[in-house]
Amino acid sequence: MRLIINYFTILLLGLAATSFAQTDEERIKERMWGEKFPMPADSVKEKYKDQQAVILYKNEIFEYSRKLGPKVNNDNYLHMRVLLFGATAVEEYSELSFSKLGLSGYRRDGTYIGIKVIKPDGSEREVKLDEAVKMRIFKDAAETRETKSSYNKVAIENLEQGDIVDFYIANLSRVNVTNYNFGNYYAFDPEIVVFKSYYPLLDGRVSFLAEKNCYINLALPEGYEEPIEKEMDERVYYELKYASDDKLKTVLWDAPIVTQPVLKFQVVAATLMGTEVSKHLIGKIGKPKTKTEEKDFQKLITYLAGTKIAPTTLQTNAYKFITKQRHNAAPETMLRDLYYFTRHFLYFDYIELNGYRFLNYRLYDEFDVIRATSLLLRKLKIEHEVFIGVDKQYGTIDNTLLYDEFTPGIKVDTPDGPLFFYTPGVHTLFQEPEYEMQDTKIYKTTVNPVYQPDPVVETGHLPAGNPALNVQIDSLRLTFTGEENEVLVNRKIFVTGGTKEQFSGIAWLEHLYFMDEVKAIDAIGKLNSRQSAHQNYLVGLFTKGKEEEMKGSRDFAKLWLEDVNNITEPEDFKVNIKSQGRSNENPAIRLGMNFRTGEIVSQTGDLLLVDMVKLFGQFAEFTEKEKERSVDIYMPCPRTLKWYIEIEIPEGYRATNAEVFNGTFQNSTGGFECRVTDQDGKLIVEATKIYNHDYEPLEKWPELLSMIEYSNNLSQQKLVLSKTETGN
Amino acid sequence: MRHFRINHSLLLASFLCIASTTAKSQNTDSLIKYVQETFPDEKALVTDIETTLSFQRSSSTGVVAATETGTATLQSLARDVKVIRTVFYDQYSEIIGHKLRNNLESKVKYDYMRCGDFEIDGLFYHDAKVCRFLMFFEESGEHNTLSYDKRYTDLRYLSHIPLSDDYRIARMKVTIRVPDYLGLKLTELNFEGFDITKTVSYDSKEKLKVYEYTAHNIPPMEEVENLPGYSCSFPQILVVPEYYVSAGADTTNIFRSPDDLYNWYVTLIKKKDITPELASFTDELVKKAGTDDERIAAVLQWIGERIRYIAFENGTAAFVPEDAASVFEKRYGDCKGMSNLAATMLRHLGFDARLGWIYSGRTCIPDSVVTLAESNHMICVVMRNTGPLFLDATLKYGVINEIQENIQGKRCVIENDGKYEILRVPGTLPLSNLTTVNDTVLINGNRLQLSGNMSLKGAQRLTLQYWLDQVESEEKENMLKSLISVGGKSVKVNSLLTSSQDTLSDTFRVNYNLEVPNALVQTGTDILLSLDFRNEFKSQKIEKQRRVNYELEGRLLNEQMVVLKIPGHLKVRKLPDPIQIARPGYVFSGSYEAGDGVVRYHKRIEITDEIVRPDEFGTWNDFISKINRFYKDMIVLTVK
Repeated sequence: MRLIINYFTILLLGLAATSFAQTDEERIKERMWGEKFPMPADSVKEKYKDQQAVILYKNEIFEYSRKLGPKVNNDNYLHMRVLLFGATAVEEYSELSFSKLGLSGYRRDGTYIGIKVIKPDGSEREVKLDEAVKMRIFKDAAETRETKSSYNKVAIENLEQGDIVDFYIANLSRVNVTNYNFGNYYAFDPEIVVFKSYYPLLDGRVSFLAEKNCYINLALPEGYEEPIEKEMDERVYYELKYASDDKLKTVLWDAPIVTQPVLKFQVVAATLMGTEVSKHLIGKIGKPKTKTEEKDFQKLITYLAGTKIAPTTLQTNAYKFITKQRHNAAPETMLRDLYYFTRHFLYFDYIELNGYRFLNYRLYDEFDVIRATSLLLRKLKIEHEVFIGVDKQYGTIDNTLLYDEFTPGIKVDTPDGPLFFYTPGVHTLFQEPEYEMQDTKIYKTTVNPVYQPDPVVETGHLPAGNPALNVQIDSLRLTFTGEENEVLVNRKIFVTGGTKEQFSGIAWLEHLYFMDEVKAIDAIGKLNSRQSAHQNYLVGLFTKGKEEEMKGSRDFAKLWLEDVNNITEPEDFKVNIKSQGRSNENPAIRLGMNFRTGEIVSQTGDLLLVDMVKLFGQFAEFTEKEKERSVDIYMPCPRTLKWYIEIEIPEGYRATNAEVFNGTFQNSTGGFECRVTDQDGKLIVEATKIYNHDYEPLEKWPELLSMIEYSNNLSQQKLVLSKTETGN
Repeated sequence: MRHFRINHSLLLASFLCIASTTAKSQNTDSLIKYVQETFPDEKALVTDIETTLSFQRSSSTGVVAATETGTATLQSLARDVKVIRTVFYDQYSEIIGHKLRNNLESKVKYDYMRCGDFEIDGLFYHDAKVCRFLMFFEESGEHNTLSYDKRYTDLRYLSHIPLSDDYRIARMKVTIRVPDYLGLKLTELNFEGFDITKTVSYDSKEKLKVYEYTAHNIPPMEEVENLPGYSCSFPQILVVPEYYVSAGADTTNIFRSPDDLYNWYVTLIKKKDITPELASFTDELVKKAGTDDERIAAVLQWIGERIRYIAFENGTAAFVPEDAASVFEKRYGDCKGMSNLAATMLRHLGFDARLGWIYSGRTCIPDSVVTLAESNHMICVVMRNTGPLFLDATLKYGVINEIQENIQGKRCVIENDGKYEILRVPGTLPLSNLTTVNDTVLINGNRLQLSGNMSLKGAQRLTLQYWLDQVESEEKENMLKSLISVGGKSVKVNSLLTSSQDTLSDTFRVNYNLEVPNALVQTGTDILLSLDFRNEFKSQKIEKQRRVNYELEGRLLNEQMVVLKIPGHLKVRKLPDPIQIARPGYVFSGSYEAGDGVVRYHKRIEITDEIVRPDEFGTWNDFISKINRFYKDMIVLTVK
C-alpha cells in the first residue's frame, strides 16, 4: 500500500512539473515575442552595412521576486534581435548548442530558448528546437539513461546575410534565502552588464524587479540617467536604456570597469526590513539604490569598529599567540607577529568538518579579518584607525555600492611612522600596501580602547605608491662558449613589491613556500600541538608534488624567457629559486636562470652582432591604431626596472658602436636611462626604466608613449663587435 | 615418480612465468625511467595493451561477425593525472561489455563512462559514436586497466587496428584469428622505424590462421604537432574483409575487389528530379553568364557564398548525400549535400555533372587496399570534352579550373550511369601555390622605407581569403598588415591596397608602403642592414626525439625580390654569401647582388613534398640552421 502511494505521488509530481513547464514556456514566449517590432529602416541598413552585424535590440530583465516563505525566484531574460550583414556574423549565429530545456522535474531550475529568423521581407520562421540534433550522452553503452552532460545542437536553416536573428534565453531558478551566506541575510552574486557589444547596439535595455525584502544596488556607468520606473503585469520594474556605436575592444593598461560603460548590481534578500544587513549597502526595498550616502560608509566603519560579537576563532587564536606563544614578546614586533600569525592561520591552518579539511581563509572575508584584528588591538589597548577604500580599477569610493569592491584596513601610528595592516594574502608581507588602492580616498575612524558606539567617520587619503619599492633587477652575464655564435647566459633576477606577481608561477611553489612558512612562523612563536599537527599534515601533503612542481616552474620559466626575451630554444636551461620573498627580512623573489643559446649573437662577415632586445626583453609596443588611445592608463603599480648586462668581449674583438646605448629620457610619467662602460674586457650596459605612477590620465599618454618609444628604440638596437687589428 | 615429475614441470613452468614477468617488469621499469627523463611532459604510459580480433559465423544465417577484445593497462607517471580512454562504435558495431579496474583489481573510485555521438572541431557524426572512460590517478605509479568487448555486425566497418595510442606504449600485442572460411587481407602500414614483430601460425584444431603482432615503445599520438594524416603517421594494420564462405559453401564477397566497394557507393545515390523552385532559381542565377565556364562558376560561387558548411553527418556511414532541394531550402549542408546541390543545378543547366568520392588531405593507404577509409570527401565532377572538372563545392572563392591542393593526384570514384568510373585527379606543381614579393627599399635615417607588392595563388590565396572571411573588418586590416610586415607592431604601414576580399580571381594582390624602424646598425663608417623580414621556416626545427613523420604546411613556391637603393654617399662593403640548398622535397636559394647604386636580393623557397620523414630530421634541422645563419647575415654599406 505504501509503495502504491509513493508511486502515485511521484506521478503527480511529474504531472505537476510538466504542466508548470508548459505554462512557463508559453508565458515566456508570449512575453518575449508578444511585442511586434518594426523592420529596420533603410537608413539603419545603409549606416551599418560595412559591419558584420548590428544589434537592433537587446533587452535584459533581472527579476528577484519573492513568493510566500523564504523562496526567491531569481529569473533573468535576454531578448536580442541581430541584423546580420557579414558572412562571419551569419556563421556565428548559424549553429546553436543547448542543454536540456525546461524546468527540471523536481525543482524550479531551468532554461527556455526561442529563436526565429526574420527575412528582409518581414516574414518570420521559428526554429524548431525540438527537431534539434541531440548530442546524446548516456550513462552506459546500453544507452539507457541520459546524463546531465547531454546537449543538443541545431543548425539555423535558411539564414542569410540581411536576415534578422531574433532570440531569447530565459533562465529560471529559485533560491531559499534562509540559507544565509552573510550572517542573517542572503546576498546574490554581483552582476555586470556592459553597455556595449562586439557589434554596434542601437536599442539596449536593462530592467530590474526586486520584490519584498529584496534590495538592489545599481552602480551606474558615468553619465547615465537614473533608471525609470515602469509598471508591467502589476509589478514595478526599473529600466535603463542605452545605445552604443562603439564596439568592445581590448586595450593594454586599461581598467574596463571604470573606462567602459559598465553597470554593476547586486541584490540582497533580507529578513526583517533589512536591519540585519550588516555589510552590504541597501536602500529601500524594491527600489534601486544608485548613490552612496554618508550613512553607508558609517555602517561599514561601524561594523569594522564594532565589538558586539562573539570572538571568532581567528581572534582568540591570534590573541593567544600574541600574548602566550611568541618567543619574544617585544611590543615593537607585536604588529608584525600578528600579521604573520594571521597569514599562517588563514592559509596554512584548517578546520575539519565532516571529514573534510577547509583552509581557514574560506571562513572569513576581509571585513571579518580586519574587524577581528581591530578588536584584538583594542583588547591590547592599542589605538588605531580602521578604514575602507576601493581599488582604482573599480572606480572611486564615493561611487562604490558593491560590498565586494571595498577593502578594509587598519592604520597604527608608531614612533617610526604609520603602519598599515590589510588582510594578508598567501605571500604578502607585513606593511605591504594594497597596490591598487594607493593614492585613493578612504573613509576611516579612530578606534580607542574604550568602546564608542557611534564612531566618528572621516575621510582620508592613502599614501601614493613609490617606484623605488617595486623593483625588478635583471642581471645578465654573457660569455662566449667558443661554439659558433653561442653564448652562456648567467642570469639573476631580483624583484620586490608589486612586480613579484609575474614570477609567481616560477617562484611560489607549494612545497617550497609551505616549508618557508614553517620556518617563518617557528621563528616567531611556538605553535600549539593542534596547530603543529595541521602544519605537518599540509607540509607532508605538498612535499609529495615536489618533482612535478619543479618541472612546472622550469617550464613556466622557459615560456617566460620566450615571451619576454624571444629566446625559444635555450640549451641546458636551469632555474634556481633562491628566495621566495615572503618575509620582511628577505622581501625579494630571487631567481637564477642559466642557459646556452645561439639566438642572441649572429655573424656578418667578421662582425659579431649582439641582439640587445633579447637581453633587455621586448618592451610594450603599440600599433599606430593603439597609439590613438581614448582611455586613461591603469597599471599595476609604479615601478623601477633595472638591467645590468655584462658581455665578455671575445678575444680579438672590440665593441664599435657601444655609444648608441648611451642615452637618457625623462618626463613626468617616468624615464629611461642607459649607460655603457668598458671594464677589463667586459662591456657593461646598465639601464633603468621608471614608471612613476600606476595611473596616468589620458592627457599624459603622449608623454608616457614617448618615454616607452625612446626606451624601445634604444634597447632594440644591435651591439657590434668588430675584430681588432690584433684579431685580424 | 610420475607425480613428482609433474610437480617439477609445474614448478618449472611457474618459474619461467615468474622470470618472464620479471623481465617484462624490468623492461617497463627502465622504459618508465627513460620516459620520465627524456619526455618529462608525458603523464601516463600504457604498460601493456592487448587486442584480439576473432570471427564468428552464424549457424543460422551463415553471416560472419567479428569480436574485438581489448585490454589496456595504464600507469601514471605523475600525480593527479586524468586519462580519458575512448572506444569507438557505430550502428554496425557495439560495445558489449567493459571493466575498469585499479591496482588492486577492484572497481575504480570514479567509474565514469560517457557514450554518445563523436564530435571533433564542432562537427559531429551520428554514425560514429564513442564511449569515454575516465582513469583518474591520484598518485604517480598507480595503474588502471580497462577491458572491453566490441562486436562488429557488418565487417565492412572493420577497417584497421592501430598499433599506437594517445599515450606511449611499453608493450602491445595484437592477435588476429582468421578462420578458414574468411578471406581477410591484412596490410601493414608505417611499421618502418618501430619495434614491431610479427608471427603467423596455424591452429589446425580450430582451423584458423593466427597473426600476432608485438610492438614495443611506441611513441604517443596525443599532442604531436604537424602530424600528417593518421594513415601516414603511426603504425597500423589495415584490415580488409574480402569474402566469407557460408556453411553451405556459398561465397559472399565483402570487399574482394574495388567493384564491391564502388558499386555499393553508387547504390547510395538516389537521383531525384530537380524541384521547380531550384530549377527556376538556377536559371535566374546564370542568366547573365555567357559561357559554360561562367555558368559553372556562377553556381559554384553562389554555393560557396550562400550555403554554409555544417556537417551533421547523418545517415548510412556518412556516405549518403542529402537531397539537393533540402540543402537549397536549408541553406546548409555537408560536402555530400553541397556537391549534390551543385551536381543537380549543373545537370539542370545541361552539364554532365556527377558525384565523386575522394580522399581530401594526406592519405597513405595504398590504392590496392579496398576500404571505406579510402575516401572521406565528396566533390562534383563535370565531364566535358576538354576533360573532367573537379569541383569542390565546399570551397569558398574557388576557381573552377584550379584543382584544390587537398585532392590533387587522388583517385576519384564517380558515378557513371548506375555504375562507377575511376578517375585520377591531376597533380600540379608547387608553382600553383606561388607567393611572389617584389619590394623596393630606400634608406631614410634609421628607417627603411619599403614599397612593394605581394601576390598569392592557389592554396596560399585560398588560405588567406578563408582567414579574411573569418575575422571582423578591423581585424582584416591587422591580418593583412601582419602578412606584409610579418608581425612587429613597430612597423608602420603607410598604405595598403588589396584585391577585394571575395575576389574569384586566381591571384590575390597586396600593394603596400611601410616603414621599418631601427632597421640600421651603425658602427663607425659602416651601416649594416637586412632586407628580409619574412624569414620563412626560421623556427621550424623538428624535435630530436620525434619518431613520426612531420608535415609542413603544404607545397609551395615563394619568390622574393628586393631592390635596395643605396644613397649616393654610401657604397657596398660586403654582401652576405649566397646560399643554395637543394634536397629531395625542398629547395632554398638566396643571393645578394650589387648593381648600379642598388643591391638586389633574391630568395626562392620551393617545397615539393610536405612530409619530412624521421630519417630526414637531422638534414632538415641542419637546413634550418643554415637558412637562419643566412637570414642573420647582413649587408654592410660604408661611406664612400
